Amino acid sequence: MWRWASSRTIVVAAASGLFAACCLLPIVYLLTVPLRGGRVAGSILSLDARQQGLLWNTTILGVGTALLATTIGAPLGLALARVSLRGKALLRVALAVPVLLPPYIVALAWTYLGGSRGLIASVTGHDLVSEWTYSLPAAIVVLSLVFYPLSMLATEVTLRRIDGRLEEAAVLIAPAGVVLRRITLPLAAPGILAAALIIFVLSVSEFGVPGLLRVRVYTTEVFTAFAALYDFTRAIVLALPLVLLCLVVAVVTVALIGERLVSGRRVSGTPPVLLDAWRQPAGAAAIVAVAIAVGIPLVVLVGEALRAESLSAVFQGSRQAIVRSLLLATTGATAVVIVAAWLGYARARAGVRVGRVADALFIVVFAVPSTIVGVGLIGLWNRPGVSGAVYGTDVMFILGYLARFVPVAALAIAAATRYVPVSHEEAASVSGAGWLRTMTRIVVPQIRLGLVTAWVIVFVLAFGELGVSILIAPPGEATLPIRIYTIIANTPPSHVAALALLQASVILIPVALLGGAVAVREAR
Amino acid sequence: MTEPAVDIRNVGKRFATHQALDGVTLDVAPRECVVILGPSGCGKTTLLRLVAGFDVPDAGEIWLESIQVASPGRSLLAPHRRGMGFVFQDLALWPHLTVYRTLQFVLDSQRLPRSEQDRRIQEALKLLRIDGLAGRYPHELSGGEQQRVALARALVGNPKLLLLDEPLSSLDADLRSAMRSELARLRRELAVTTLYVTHDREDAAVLADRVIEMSTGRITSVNETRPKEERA
Repeated sequence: MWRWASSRTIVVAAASGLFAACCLLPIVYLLTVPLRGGRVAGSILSLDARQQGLLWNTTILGVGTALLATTIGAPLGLALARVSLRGKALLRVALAVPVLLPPYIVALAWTYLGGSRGLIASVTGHDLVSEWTYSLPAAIVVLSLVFYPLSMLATEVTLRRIDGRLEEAAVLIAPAGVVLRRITLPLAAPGILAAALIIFVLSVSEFGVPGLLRVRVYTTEVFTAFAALYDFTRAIVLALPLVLLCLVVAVVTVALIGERLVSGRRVSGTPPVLLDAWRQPAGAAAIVAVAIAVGIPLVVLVGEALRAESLSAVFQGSRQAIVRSLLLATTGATAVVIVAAWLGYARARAGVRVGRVADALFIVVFAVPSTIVGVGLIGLWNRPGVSGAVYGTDVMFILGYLARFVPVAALAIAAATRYVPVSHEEAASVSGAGWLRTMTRIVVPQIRLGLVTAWVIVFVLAFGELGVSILIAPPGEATLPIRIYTIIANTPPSHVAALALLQASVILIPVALLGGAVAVREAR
Repeated sequence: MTEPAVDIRNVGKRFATHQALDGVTLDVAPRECVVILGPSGCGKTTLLRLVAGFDVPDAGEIWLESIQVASPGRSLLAPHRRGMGFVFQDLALWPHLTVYRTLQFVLDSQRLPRSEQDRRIQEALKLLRIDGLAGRYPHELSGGEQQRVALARALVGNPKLLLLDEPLSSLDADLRSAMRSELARLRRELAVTTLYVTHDREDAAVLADRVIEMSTGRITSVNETRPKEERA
């Protein structure tokens, strides 16, 4: 029972207030500015030829990536869930690595492979693929290789939640292929489709890959309108169709997923090993996927970086950006988790209706493209007075991380909190503990792995964040992603590759440590 | 002498450090109803799962009508080729299929013409007294109706062997009693060979031709409750 006059109300209200201020306000601001100017509202309704081209490219990028990533990821998820693969835990981590790398780093590696002076051109002596490397289809392929783990993990999780007996009941009647087609996949379809929609949103929101591969989409045009032309109104006009598209898709996604987003339900029965005959082909396919999505980009980057005369000189030259990125990502992840912990707790303990509204809000906020959040933050904070004092400082980065990553962290923490039975809190309460003491002594110790996971996720995302950072960064104050992105054109590729590798390493080390902690916990 | 419908020979099964079954030998005659009785964890469900082919034994052999279907570490015949019906403890009704489509799924595997499928489905619906529920999904059914659908699914394919894993345990006392009578009626009408797992002695008293008691993975007693000449 939630007593209104309690420390719980104060803490959750404070976290909700921060969420509204940091996450909702920039979007609401962006949506209300055009309503105050008739010119802008009119422009949205009548898309000119340029806008139509952007809409076409953006849609093709989103749909193509969602389809290709699902085509790669869903069968891998099926294999992880229903085939007894050798070394499955390790394989799962290896297959999930691409989604942890900043997409523009993967794109960078592919340009070193397929560009006019890339590896393929130097080996064959002919420029065979550079035209294709910088194209919309290439952007689709690169983003699919980055985002397929989302489909894979969603498919695996969805299949694991299906009661094994539903399939056993069918296995008695029909062969594995029929059971898969008529029982397993229809039951898993909402989860797979929801993942495809999330991939769609992330693809159309992506700024680094289309920017690097010279594909004109909404996000790159918003950036150009603001950063190159400094046309704030034009940036907003460009942003709005994309915001609306993302919002609609996000709402549909929430409707599809429902309570499963934070559900802690454990199903009875062991899932049957349906496709044991496919063990070898499935294992081979997983290894090929790891080789293409992880092996090739990393090998290409290492090869390119080793050409640098002095790696230490490269790192020395970017020392300030490296240190700033580490500090900002650490501070940002901590700030985000502090706010998200209370929101996540409130979400986990909310009723069905309130919970679904909260999920919708979290997904919608996360779906807003990064460059658009950046424009919203600038509009809010770049003005005279107190806010002007904040604008132009590193605090803007933290505000950017809060705006983008609180929803993801809150959902992760809510999912972890769902595993703590309410009766544990009730038992603490009848034992005389107040809510804060119950939280710190009963709930938090049980969700500490969830909190650490949320922190690592946000650290990884913040350390690779580019879309917001590149817009709000104070002049001359670059983070590592901004530095990599801006020196690509005028710095030797070996230097850029070395920095990209450094960035990948910083991301993968905490993930490996977290993976180790989870493996040890599972082994117990 | 008639060949046994089910012949379980010295079967053993181990899960990690737990010996679930230890040298179990049992044969079931055609049309006989054998009730396996025992407390939780005694291995009765494991035995049923081995017969169904969901798991493989570590030791021993399983034969169905003179065909060996399992040997140590190997399944020799896929579950869907063993000709069985199975009623699960939690029923395991497919949430995305209506009652009619559920039964049709069973008959699709037998490659029957649509008209024959429809006839068999109507027959099964009538037999289980759920003929008005063909278009409903599982969540639109009461507990007793779901139970009948699970039974209809197990029976519509004319199985040679019916396996029931504590099918009445989730029902309240009144419904359990009604369904027990229903099962007895079906047994009389269909005379299908049945292996029935339960911890409820009343189920055994009403349904069994023979009662097998199990404890810690072994058969501890065998009692014939109905003389052979009185059986269905």
